[in-house]
Amino acid sequence: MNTENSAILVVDDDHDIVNAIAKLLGKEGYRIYKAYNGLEAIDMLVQNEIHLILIDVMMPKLDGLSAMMKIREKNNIPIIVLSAKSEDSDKILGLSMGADDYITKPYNPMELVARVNSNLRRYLSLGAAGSTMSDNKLRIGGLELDKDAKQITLDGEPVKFTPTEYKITELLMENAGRTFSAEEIYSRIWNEDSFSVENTVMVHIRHIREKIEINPSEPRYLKVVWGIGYKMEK
Amino acid sequence: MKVLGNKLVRAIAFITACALLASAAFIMCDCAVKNDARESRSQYYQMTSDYSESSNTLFVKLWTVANMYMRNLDSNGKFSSNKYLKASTEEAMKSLGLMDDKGNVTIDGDEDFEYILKYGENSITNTDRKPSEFSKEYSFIQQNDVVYPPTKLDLHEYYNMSWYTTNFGMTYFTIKNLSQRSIAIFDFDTSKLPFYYDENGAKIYYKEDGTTPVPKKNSNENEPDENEPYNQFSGEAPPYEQYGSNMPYSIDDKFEYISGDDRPICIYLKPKDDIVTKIEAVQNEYNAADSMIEQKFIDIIPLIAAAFAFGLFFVVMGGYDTEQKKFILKAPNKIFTEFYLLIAILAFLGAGSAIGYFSETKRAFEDGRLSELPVYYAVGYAVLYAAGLFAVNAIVVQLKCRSLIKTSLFGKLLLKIVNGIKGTIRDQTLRKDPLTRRFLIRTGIAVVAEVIAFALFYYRAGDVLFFISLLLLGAYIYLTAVDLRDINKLSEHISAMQSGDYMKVKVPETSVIYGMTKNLNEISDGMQTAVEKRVQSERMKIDLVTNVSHDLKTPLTSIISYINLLGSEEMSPEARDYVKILDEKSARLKVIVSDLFDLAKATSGTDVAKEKLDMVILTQQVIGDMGDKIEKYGRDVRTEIKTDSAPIEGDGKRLYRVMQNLIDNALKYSLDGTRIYVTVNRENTDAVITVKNISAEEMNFTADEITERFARGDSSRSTEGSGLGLSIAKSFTEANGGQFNVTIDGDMFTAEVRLPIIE
Repeated sequence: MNTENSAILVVDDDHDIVNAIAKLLGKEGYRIYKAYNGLEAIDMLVQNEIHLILIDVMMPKLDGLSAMMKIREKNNIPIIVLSAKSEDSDKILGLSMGADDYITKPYNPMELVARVNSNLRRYLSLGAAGSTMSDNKLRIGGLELDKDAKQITLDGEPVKFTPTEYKITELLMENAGRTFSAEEIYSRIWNEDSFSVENTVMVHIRHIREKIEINPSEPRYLKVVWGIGYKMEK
Repeated sequence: MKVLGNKLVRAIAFITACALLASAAFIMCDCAVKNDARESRSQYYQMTSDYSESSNTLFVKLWTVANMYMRNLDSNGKFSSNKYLKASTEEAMKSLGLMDDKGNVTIDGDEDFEYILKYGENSITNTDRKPSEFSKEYSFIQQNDVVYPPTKLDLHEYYNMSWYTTNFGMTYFTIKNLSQRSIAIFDFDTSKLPFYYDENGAKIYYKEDGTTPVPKKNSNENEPDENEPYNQFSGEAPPYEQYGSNMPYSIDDKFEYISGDDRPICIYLKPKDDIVTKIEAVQNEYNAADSMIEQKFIDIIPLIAAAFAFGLFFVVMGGYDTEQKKFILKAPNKIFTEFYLLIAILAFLGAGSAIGYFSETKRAFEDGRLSELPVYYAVGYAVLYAAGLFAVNAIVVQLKCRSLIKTSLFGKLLLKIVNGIKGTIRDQTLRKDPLTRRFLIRTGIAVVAEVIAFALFYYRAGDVLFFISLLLLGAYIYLTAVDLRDINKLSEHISAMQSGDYMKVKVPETSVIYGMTKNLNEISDGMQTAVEKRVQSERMKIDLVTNVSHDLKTPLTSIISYINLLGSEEMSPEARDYVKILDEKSARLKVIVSDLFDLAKATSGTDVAKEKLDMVILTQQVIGDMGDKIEKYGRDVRTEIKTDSAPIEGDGKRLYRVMQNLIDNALKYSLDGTRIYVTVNRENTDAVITVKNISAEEMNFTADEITERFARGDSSRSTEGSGLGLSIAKSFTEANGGQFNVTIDGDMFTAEVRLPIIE
């Protein structure tokens, strides 16, 4: 299914922002619905077929998080929270209440577009298509690793990985949630003891992140645990 | 009263009293000095001393002859023992001057005396009198072992004479006041035997075949042997004065004392009648003189009485003021009571000894031991009397004026103590001061208990009292323990407050810490309110910052969005330039807003995650993460990891920001072609990370200035960054319990992060 003509609901109490986003995403070929508070958003959703929601948190009448909970009662379309609240706790709260992604204001327009694309692709091509999971496939969000084909796809799009990058990604995805130190990654991948080679691992990690993350400084999949190591988000 | 109370009258009375006493003393002393009694007394003493000596010597001679010689005579007057004893006895007698060369007993110094010496049937005498004619009043009489000295004559000095014989043939005499103090006689041949002088000067022969004791050798050659013969040193008997007193010769156990023969000895000895008469005459003369002085003393009694009467008047009227018509305390009487008391006591003692030792004083005058100027003594007694009188007067005046307590040191001290106790009891503070009150009461109880216990110990009284004292002591210990426990509670209370626990503690009103705890609870309340207020204001501050930040971000979001949209529109190259500038500035504004928010949160010190992490890894991760940027700037970043690990506890994300900011800073401001040095090291208990770079611009600011908010190393204000980088680094480091320091040395800029290591 093509992401073109997909319908996106933009919810924000700031009309200018809603219009700006509408323009931005409109240029990408999406159909845009606008709502200015949570209640309107829910109404919109009932009346129209919507494929993705961009929702602000702080809004009159019904705030974004409450609206999202209501929506999630029946609907599993991707929801991206767009908030000025940039604290980790806010992000965790948003994600745990059913958001698929969290973008902080002021957003980078390019990043916003990329994330919308990514979420839509995943929803339409993977989530909705419901492609079956084989034993030899690892999937985290839109990131999928096919062990047989030795290929990695992001939101359905194949990504070109070097063999080392592939091995590191495979290791981290197989043990998603577990933190690996650079040393351990090195010895597992190169099968020899590391000696001041942490930088090597870090360079690889950076390259992987550049390939799979929309915004490498706010990674979605491959996270740095500062002072300890790296891990793949579950 | 007016006349009698007059000062002048009092002064006259005082002087009269002293003068009367002086004259009485003068008469007394003058009489003692001038009296003929002095001569008669010294005559008497001389005479008794002379006769005493000769009579005693004679008595000893008689005793010696009886015990040494007459003891061995048979009833016919022949010497009955063996020839060695006879020779030895005769030698001893001769050496004592009691026998002449022909073997006849000679008793010298008997010119003034008559005596009879009887031993068994034998007797020696120089008189025709019979024993019955020796009256007890004037004679020495020894019957058997009992000596009766004359009752009327002061002639006898008692000498302790003794003798013993041994089972090896020696008889030992202790005589003491003849030419030799001790002497030994032997009943065996001594002609070729070795001998020594014992400690009493007796010549002792001994045999080395074991039949007599021999002098013991001392193991130490340098010291004289025990019972060492003196002649080993000199070969002669030591002088008389060096003999020990009354020390019989000690002998080995196998030899024994055999006590002397106790056949009756009778000695009768008296001065000749004319001597007795002479002594008695002198004695009478002396007694007469003595009684005359006593008579004189009786004669001066009225004088003394008058002196005391005037003195009494002086004391009774002392301190009376004729104008105020009452007794008042004036200058000389105001001196401390103790001073006058001391003088009075000394005067009283002086007078007392003068009276008490009157006869002694009298005798001293008679013997000429005191000066012959009685006027000195008269003045002396008068001064003593005057001083005593004056002192007594002062004390009496103080008594009359009821100022004894005020004038005496002891009284003052007592007054002070009494007032102190009264004051303390009256004082309200004691009631409010439970510690002092309890201390006083309990110490009282303990002291009473101790006194009881002591009394019991001393007098061995009943068990009940002892039990009570134990009970009291037990109560004392219990109450003290309770108080200490309460004080401990108080201490815990304070500790809890110190660590931020503002709990309220309830204690019974009877507790020693009731008042203190009440106050502490109030302080605690106040502090809790203050802390709550502070927390609240802190929260409000964060809320404010969050709101402001939100309010800033919302329009900024629109700005950024529309600039982006604008950028995709058709426009002239000029307009495109403007849009580009707008894009950059809005991007920077975004960074500033975000940094400001971070900084505000960091300085409010909230929400710092604590996780265990390693600064070595973190530094490597940051440098790896910033690889792109480092490449972009083209700087060589040298990482020197000088430690295997630097485990600390902190917020990884924030510390990452710290490192990122520091490296960012170094990249931005370092001179082209220079290297940036990042080191990680351990110093004692700290993990120390430094970032060093050579500044491109001259650093005309101080280390303090650069960490201020919005400070920037270049005045040109580059378009990048918020200028909050170092401030954030500093705040985040401190929020993680570390220290952040900047050092500027010429063109070298060093930022140092110091975090406590945990193991």
